[in-house]
Amino acid sequence: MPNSFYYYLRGTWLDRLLLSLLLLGIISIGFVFSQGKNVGVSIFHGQTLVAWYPLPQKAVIQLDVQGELGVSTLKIDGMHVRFLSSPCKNQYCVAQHDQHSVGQMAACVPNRVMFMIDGESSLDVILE
Amino acid sequence: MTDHARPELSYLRQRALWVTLLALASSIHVFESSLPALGPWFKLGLANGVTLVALAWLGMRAALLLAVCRVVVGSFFIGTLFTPTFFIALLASMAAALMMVLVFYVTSCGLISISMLCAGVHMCTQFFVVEYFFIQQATLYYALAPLLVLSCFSGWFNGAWASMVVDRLDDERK
Repeated sequence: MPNSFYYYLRGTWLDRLLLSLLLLGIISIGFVFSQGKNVGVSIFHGQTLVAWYPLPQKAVIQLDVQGELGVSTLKIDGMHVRFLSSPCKNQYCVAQHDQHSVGQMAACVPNRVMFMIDGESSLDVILE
Repeated sequence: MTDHARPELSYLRQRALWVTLLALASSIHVFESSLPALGPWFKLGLANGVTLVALAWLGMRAALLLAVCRVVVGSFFIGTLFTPTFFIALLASMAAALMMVLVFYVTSCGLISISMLCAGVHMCTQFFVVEYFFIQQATLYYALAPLLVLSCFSGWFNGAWASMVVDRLDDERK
């Protein structure tokens, strides 16, 4: 029925083809990036690497990182890393759940503090 | 048209529709900011659908102007005017609107395809602006892929409702 929202939501064959191509491309690139070993968490203030911890950690670590607005507190528990507190207004960084696999990150943009779980990527092999 | 002549009715109608779309887009911008965040830098982007309607109905100039004005007006009401969030939203919105115009006039893609591409450009621009001006860490791009997947679906949804609105407006005009 042309007037219903469902009619428009189905899209055309061109829309479906484009969606398939986009998803295929994005997932392929994401998969290549997510393959890693020697995993660790890098913690940055702006461009400066504040700390790097290998993952998984046996003990729970709470880390205070000085940012632009104040101190952000991070918690590292096993493979899981998250913001416990931050002095920013919106608290998006704190609202994010634990990050635990290569490529995942969280950032407090106002405080310019971020962490990133990184590891050796197989992308290097492809590029070489 | 002399100084005292009244503007044509069609011109006034177009102006009125543009202002209505601006009010709608700004309201959606404010409404979306009050919703729980699905993730950092991720919103449904419903206001981009209004820009699509403006492009299909009023043309390129109206769409580009709407993309800029709705961020300015929306940010004014949210209280983020001239903050980093404002500049991220403004640049991303402008990039998405330019992509929208380019694809609309150069290809024969429908509004859903255009919307998906714009959502992707919007997301990539946000990441680029955050990385270049605020975080300065290329590792940030690791988070881009999952958010781009979500953008495709939100773009599809926005394109669908924009298509419906444009068709209804066309019916009204007939």
